[in-house]
Parts: sequence; structure tokens; C-alpha cells
Amino acid sequence: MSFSLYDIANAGVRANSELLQTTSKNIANVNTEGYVRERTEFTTMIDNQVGRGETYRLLNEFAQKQLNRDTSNKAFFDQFVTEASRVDSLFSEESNSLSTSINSFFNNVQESLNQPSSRVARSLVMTDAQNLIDQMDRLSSIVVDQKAVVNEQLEIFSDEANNLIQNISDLNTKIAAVHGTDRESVSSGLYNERDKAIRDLSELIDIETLDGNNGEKQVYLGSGQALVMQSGTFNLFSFSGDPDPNFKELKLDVNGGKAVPLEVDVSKLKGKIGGLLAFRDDILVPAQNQLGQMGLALADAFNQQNRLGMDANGEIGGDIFAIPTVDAFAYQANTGNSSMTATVEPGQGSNLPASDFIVKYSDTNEVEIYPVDNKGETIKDANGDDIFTTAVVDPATGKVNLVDNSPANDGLDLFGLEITLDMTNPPSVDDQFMVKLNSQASTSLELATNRPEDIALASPIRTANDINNTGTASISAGTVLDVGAFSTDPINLPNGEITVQKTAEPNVYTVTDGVNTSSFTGTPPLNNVLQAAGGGFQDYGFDFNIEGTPALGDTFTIEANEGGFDDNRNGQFLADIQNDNIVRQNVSGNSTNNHKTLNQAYTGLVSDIGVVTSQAQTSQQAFTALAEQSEAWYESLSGVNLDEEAANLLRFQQSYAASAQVLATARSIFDTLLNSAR
Amino acid sequence: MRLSNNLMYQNSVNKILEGQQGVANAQERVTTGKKYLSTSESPSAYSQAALYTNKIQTNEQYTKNINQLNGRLETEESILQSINTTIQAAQELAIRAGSGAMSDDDLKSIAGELSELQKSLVSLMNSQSEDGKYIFSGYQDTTQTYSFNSNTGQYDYQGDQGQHSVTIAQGVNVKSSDNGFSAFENVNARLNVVDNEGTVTGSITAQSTVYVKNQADFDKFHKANFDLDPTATAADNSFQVELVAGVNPGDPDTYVINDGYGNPITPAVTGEFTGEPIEYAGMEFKLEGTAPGTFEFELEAPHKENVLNTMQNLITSLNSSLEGDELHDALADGLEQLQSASEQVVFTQASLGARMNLVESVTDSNSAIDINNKSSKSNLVEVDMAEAISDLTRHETALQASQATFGRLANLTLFDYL
Repeated sequence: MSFSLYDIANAGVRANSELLQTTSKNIANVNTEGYVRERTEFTTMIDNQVGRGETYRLLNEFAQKQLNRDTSNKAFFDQFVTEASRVDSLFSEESNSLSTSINSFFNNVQESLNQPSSRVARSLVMTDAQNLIDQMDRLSSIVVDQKAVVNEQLEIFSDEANNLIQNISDLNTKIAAVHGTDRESVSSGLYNERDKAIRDLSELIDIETLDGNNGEKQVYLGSGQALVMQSGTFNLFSFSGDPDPNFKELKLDVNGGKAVPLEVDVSKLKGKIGGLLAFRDDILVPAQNQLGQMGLALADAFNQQNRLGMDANGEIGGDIFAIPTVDAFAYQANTGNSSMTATVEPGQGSNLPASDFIVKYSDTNEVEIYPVDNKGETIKDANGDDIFTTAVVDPATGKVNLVDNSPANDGLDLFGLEITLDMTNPPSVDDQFMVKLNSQASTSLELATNRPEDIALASPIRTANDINNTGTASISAGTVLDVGAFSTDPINLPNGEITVQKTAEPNVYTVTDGVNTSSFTGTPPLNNVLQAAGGGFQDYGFDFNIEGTPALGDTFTIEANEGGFDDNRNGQFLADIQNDNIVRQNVSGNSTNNHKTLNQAYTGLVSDIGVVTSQAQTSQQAFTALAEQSEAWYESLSGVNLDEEAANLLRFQQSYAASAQVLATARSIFDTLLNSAR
Repeated sequence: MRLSNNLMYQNSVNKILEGQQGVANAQERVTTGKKYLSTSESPSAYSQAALYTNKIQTNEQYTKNINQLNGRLETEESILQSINTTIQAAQELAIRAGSGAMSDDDLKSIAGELSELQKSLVSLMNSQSEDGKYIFSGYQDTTQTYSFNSNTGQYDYQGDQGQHSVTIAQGVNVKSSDNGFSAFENVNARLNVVDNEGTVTGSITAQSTVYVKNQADFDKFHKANFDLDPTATAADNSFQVELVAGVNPGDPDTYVINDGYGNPITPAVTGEFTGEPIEYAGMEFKLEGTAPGTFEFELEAPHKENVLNTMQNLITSLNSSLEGDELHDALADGLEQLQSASEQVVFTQASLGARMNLVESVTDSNSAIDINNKSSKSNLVEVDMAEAISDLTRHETALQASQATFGRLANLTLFDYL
């Protein structure tokens, strides 16, 4: 009996010291990340001894999974908001505002209109044009820099994720070795480490876990692809760009890269990686595209109008902005060796949407042009069908545009593009190219000239009423639509001065110049006289009206505006571009109500960034609250509370002392017995 | 719920961090005066404010344009005023020349005075802006407006019909110049006959003349009968006075007015010819010789004459010792055309005045719009100081509270009692 008392006391001391050990471990690890609170429990054995203790981790698997999920979501929005807020506040800075540069540029155009023949006012326009381009450059370099940072970060994150995946797989193997053995309870560190690795991984990307055999945990992407599988096999992430090497997409290399990589649906990814990708696709790509689009639309509109005017040298105007031609990216899967370049077709800048394009060589001398969204997906119409245009390629030049392929491409929406295929190496049918005109243009727009006199403020024509006219009619200033027929140096109309005269016949007028003669009938007011006259005059590219009623013999003349340097008519049109709707909004439909002014487009861009950021901030708050909740839930079981441990310490110390007392009592009983027998 | 130590510390620290963020934001609002620190705080307010900023910036340019425009218009106004005064002085001289009892020398001295006035008119009409551009030359501001053509002895307009215009508000373009064509060239010359001597046949002798004496009647006749068709021949615009001898001796001679082809006009105009001047449609025919015969004259095509040439002709006439009808006719040309020239200048001044009025009202509305835009923008994105400062205080208090509670919470541990 006393023998058993010794055993009981012995076991009690051992058990209580084990309890004290667990408590100390809990106290010591209070600040250890990923540590799960442990508890030791005993049962009573048949001979009343306390049995072998079992130490286990206090863990709620549901809380843990919820925490992982919420961590992914929170990390996604944290990452997104951090990046987006930077762009948001940079674009909100008034000193960075493109609108200010646009306004200042057009204000200077107006200033030059006040004194069209002043060189000073003109050179201010050129300086401001340069400033405008610089500002656009500055804004897009904010975006480009961010893009580079994002690319680098993505590499780092995917390396981290790959490390974690390997780590989890290793730990799984080690756990399988101890699982279910008596070493399991001393190996709780392995479990903690693995769970922490899983949680770290969930911060990078959203995952789901499944319990496998032998305590292993299998890890899957939220979208279902396996990351860590049984018996130490795993898949790793890789980044590569096709066709644009600078625009990397996340891939999952299956079977150590021996099998075809799985495409990962980026739009559904969470975690920091998902946040970065979403930031790139939702903010950086559209911002850069829209900046480029605005630049191209402005440059094209300004160039076109300037070409219709007469500059300060008395010549027909030329380009003010140099519109870049960019190389398209060929897909790796292409079988042909052809290359492709793209630019804006002159005069079509307002048809350019803020998107990239996939151009597919769909048949011999035929291409299909697909506008694509920020993620590189084709854009669909209301019925869910792809929006695309099938256009004809000019086999001689490889050009796809409206002018060179008339009438085949007439009336088609080519999205403002002028594409040139290298037809010396014709592409194979179904070869595809990615055209990133907008984003590349945003950093490569330049001035075509820096000579102030190249701004064509004057109109190349001027009209006159004959001094001896007796009627009430007067000729309008005229509008110029095309100057191709003009002769230059010195500037002249296609066939010299044009004279319109009212004949004795009612409503009959004659039109004559150096070559052509025509007569036509019209009732006053006469609109578009040259169009009405026909006989070759309709192709001159300009026209005018005669308002009021001409009397018999009244004559009107149109001549080249030689020396007309105080004229600012073309300049007024240049200044009007500020308020013209020249920036295309949606890919579907290219009618006029689908366009915005430059300022509206820029304001739209900034407020779009603001809206996306603000939505993300709201979601961030929501998921932060959720993550706090699940953290509290998880910690409520697994976290260490020092007060609780202090109480336990006291309790186990006392029970230890008591067990020791039992030992002392047993000894004293034994001594008593021995003494009594002496 | 059971709380872990980690969680308690983490929560307290988070609260303090949040509090610091709040104080920093509130402080930045106070120091920058901005209601929103970035677009994401209120995208709609930002985009509206940006549109207002655009309007304000555009308006600034309109104000500059208006200043420039006012300068141009005022300069032009004062020049036109001087021109008009000069023309009126010339008119007075012309009237004095026609007052009769003027000797040849008197007329020549008037011609001298006129010639001085003409010089000053030339320089006024060739006025240049401060940067040396000709004001009245239309688009060709480097071309001298009027120059003397020594071949024809006339002043020719070198400019064109262009009018420079300036935008002073969205959609409001105001012409900032007037060209010489509309201000000076567009002056009707007095309607007249081509040649006062006419063409005579039969027994009418070459000393016969026709002069316009009643301009109003003649103008009516001219307008009714002149064929503007450019293909019209001289005969189409000619008329004849035909003298017919009396049928029997003793019968008076008669006259009849024919068209250029010798057919009597309808309704027929006839009368007795007694050797006295015949008056018809404001014209006075002084026919010498006897019947039968015709006196043919051609109506002059309507045309324009600028004031410089009118004065040039007047000066030449006054210097040529003309008398009687010839002098009278020359003075009539001068007087009528000077009057028309002056009217045209006044007309230009009136339209100039209308434009200046428009500019003034646009200036007012621009500044009203500007004030509106600025206040709307400020309502949208500028901070209300009182609110911002109370916000700052609120965040400070909250931060202080979390800091204080953190200290107290951290002090609570059972280990202190062991």
C-alpha cells in the first residue's frame, strides 16, 4: 500500500512537473510567432496513479482556415490600397495636373491669336507644347516606374511563395515521420512552423488547405490548382510575358516545369500577389493607356488642323507633334516571321480608344483587329460577342488603314489605327500581334518642330467682295478641309484666283479660275458654292458661302492668303481643340456622343483612379475588421494569456508541492513502520 | 471571449497607430487648407472641382484677351474719330469753294488746304499699331494700307477684306479690327454720266453739254435704267436727246428722249425745243446747234471711290481753273463723296461702339462667372477651418485616450502579485 503511495506520489510529482513545463513553455513562447498554446492532460490509471500525460496544441481548425482566408483578403486590399494611394495622391496633386498644362497650352494659343504675327506669342505656344509633353511624360513615368516596381515585387513575392511552398512540403514530410508516434507531442514545433508557413503563404496568395494522411496538409490555390500535394510533391510559380516581355503573367509550373504551365486566372487571385496584379491591371494599365490616348488624340487633332492653315512663313502648315510609330509584339506561337508596326492614321486620332489591340492575320491580306481590355481579354459587346473589325491589307505596302485601302475599308471602324505589316516575310494565317500604341506613345510623344513660325494660325485662303457690287450679298470667310490641291512656295490655289459672278439669268452664277469654268443655279443664300459648282471645283478642298442676295454682275473672289499674317482663323480652330470632343470613350460605337474633351478625359482618368482606390479602401476596412474578428476567434483558443498561465503556474506549483508532500508523508509512514519494527 | 496577450497588445497598438494617422491627416488638412488630401476621398468632388479649375483657367485667358481687344478697339476708335474730323474739315472747305465769288486764286488756296488735310488722312489711314502692324490692312498687316500709284495718280487700297477676331468668352468671338475695305473703300461714288460732252450727230454742235443738276432725280433715273449685266454694251446704257425740226416752217422744234438704239423710251418724253436748256430726270441738257440731230450720253456704271481719291480729284479740279458747270460738277462730286465717306466712317465707328459695349457686358459676366466658379470650387474642395480644427482636436483627444489606456492595460498582470 505504501509502495503504491510512493508510486502515486512519484507519478504526481512527475505529472505536475510536466504541467509546470507546459505552462512555462506557454509563458516562454508568448511572443513566438505562430506558437499555438499547449495543454497537458492526464488520466488516472487503474492503480490510482496519474497516467502518462498527453500534451497537445489547442487549435480550432475552422478558425485557422477562416483566418487564412481573411488574411488573404486583407493582404490583397492592403497591397492594392498601398500602391493605389500613391498613384492616387500623385495624380491628385494640382502641380501634377495635366489639365493645368493643357489649359496653359491652349491659353497661349489664344494669346498668339491676339497677335498672330508676333513671334514672341508664338514661341510661348511652342514652349508650352513642350511643357505639355513633358508633363504627360512625367505622369506616365510615374506609372512606368510603378510598373517596374510592381514587376520586381511580383518576382520577389513569387520567390517567397515558392520558398514557402517548398518549406510546407518539407515540413509535411517531417510531420509524416512523427505523426502518430510518441515523438509527436515534442514535435509540436514542426506543426507550428508548417501552420505559420501556410499562413504566410495565405498572405501572399489565397489558398485552401486539405488534411492529408499522416498529418500532412495539402495546399491548393483558391482557384483550385494544387500547390503542395502528398508525399513531398509541389508546383511552383513562374512569371513570364507573352507577347510583351515587360508585361508578366503569373503561371504555375506543373511537374517541375516539365508539363505545360497552367494559366492562373489573375482576376480571382487574392493576397499580396493578387493585389499587385489587380493594381497593375486596374490602375496602371488604364492610366498609361489613357494618358497615351489623350496625347495621341491631341497631337493628331492639332497636326490635322495645323496642316489646314498657313504658317508665318506663308507656307501650308505641317505637323507640330511627331506621332510615334510603335512595334507590335509578336506572339511566341506565331509560325511566320513577319513583324508589324502601328501608328495613328492621320486624322483618325479621335477614333482611338484607350485600349491595346490584338491583330490577327486571319486570312491572306486580311486582318482582324480586336481591342482588348486591361487584362488582355477581348472586349465583348452587349450580346457577349467579341468586338472586332475585319479589314483588308494592302498587299504591296502591308498597310491596313482607311486611305490606302479605299473603298475596301471604307466605313470600317479601324479604331484610328494605321497598321503596317512586313509583307516581305508575310505572316502565316492566324499569326497574332499585340499592339500597345497608347501605352508606348505616352512616353514617346515629341514635338515635330520647335520653330514658332510653324504654327499655322492663318487660313490659306481669303475671300473678297468686289468693290463695285451693288447687291446685299457678301462672301463668307470660307472653310478649308484639305490643302492637298494647293500649290506651295508661294502659296497658291490649285488653279489661281477663283471668281464667282452673278449672271443675267435668274439664280445662275458662273465660277471661273485659271483652268476650270462652270456655271450653276442656286437660290440665295448660296452654301458651299464650289461644291454646287462642280466642274472640278468640288475637289479643291475648300469652300465658302455667299450670304444675302447678289445683284446682277456682282462678283466675289477667292485667292490665296498671301501675306495674310494678321489672320487668325485657322488659329481659332486650333484653340477650339481645347473644347472639342476628341477623346474616344468606349470601344463599342464611335459616334460623337462617345467622345470627351481632353480636360474631361483627364479628369475622368483621375477620378477613375480615385473611385477604384476609394472602393478598395472601403473593402480594405471591411476585410481588416473581418480579419481582426477571425484573429480574435483563432487567438481565443490558440493564443497565450499570461494571467491564465500565472494562475496555472500557481496551481501546478501547489499541486507539485502537494505531490511532494505525499512523497514526504509516504516516507514518514514508511519510517514509522520501520521504527516500530526496530 | 478569451483574450490572448498578443491580441490585447496588438489591438491597443493598432488603436494608437490609427489615432496617429487621424491626427496627421487632420493636421495636414488644416495646414494645406484642402478638404480632401487625395481624389479617392471624394472622386466626385474632385472631378467637379477640376472642371471648375478648367473654367477658371480658361477665363483668365479670356480676361487677357479682353484687355488686348480693348486696347485695339480703343486705338481704332480714336483713329476713326480723327479721320472723321479731317473729312468734315475737307467738307467745309468744299462748301466754301462752292459758295461763289471765289477767285481762281481763292480756289487754289483752298486746294492747298485740302492737300494738307489729304496728307494727314493718308497717314491716319495708314496707322500702325504699337508693334508696327498696319491697322486697316485686313489680314496683311505688314502691307501699307494705302499707297499712291503714280501711274494712275490714285491712292490704291493694298489690304484685303480680312477681319481679325478674338475670343472673349466661350463661343463669343469679337472682331478686333476693321479693314480699309469696309471703312474707307466701300463709299459710293456720285452717280453721273460718263462724258458731259456726249456724242453729237446732225446739226447739234459739239459745244453741247449735259450736267446732273438734281442728284436725287438723276439717281432714281439711273437706278431704274442702268443695266448691270457685265455683258451689256455701251448702247444698252446710253440715251439720246433727239431734236426734230418743225414739220412746217414756223412750227417749233421738238425734242424726244430715245434709248441708245434711237427708239423713244416709254412712256414717251417729248417737248418743245426753244434753245433753252432741256431738263429731264435731274439732268440739264444745253444743246447748241439746230435740229435735226441727236445728243447721246452714257450712264456711268455705279462704282466706289475712297476719300483720298475724292480729295485728289477735288484738288486737281480746283487747281484747273474750272468755271461754271464744270466747277459745279466737280464740287458736287467732292461734296457728295466726302459726305458718304464720312458716313461710312461713322458707320464703322458705330459698329465698333457696339462691339465695345458687347465686350463690356462680357467682361462683367466673365467676372461674375469667375466669382461663381471660384466659390463653387472652394465649397467643393476647400476646408472649413473651424471644422478642420475641431476635427484635429477630436483626433488628438482620441489618441491621448488610447495612449493612456494602453499604459493602464499594460500594468495589469497577475505576475505582480505572485
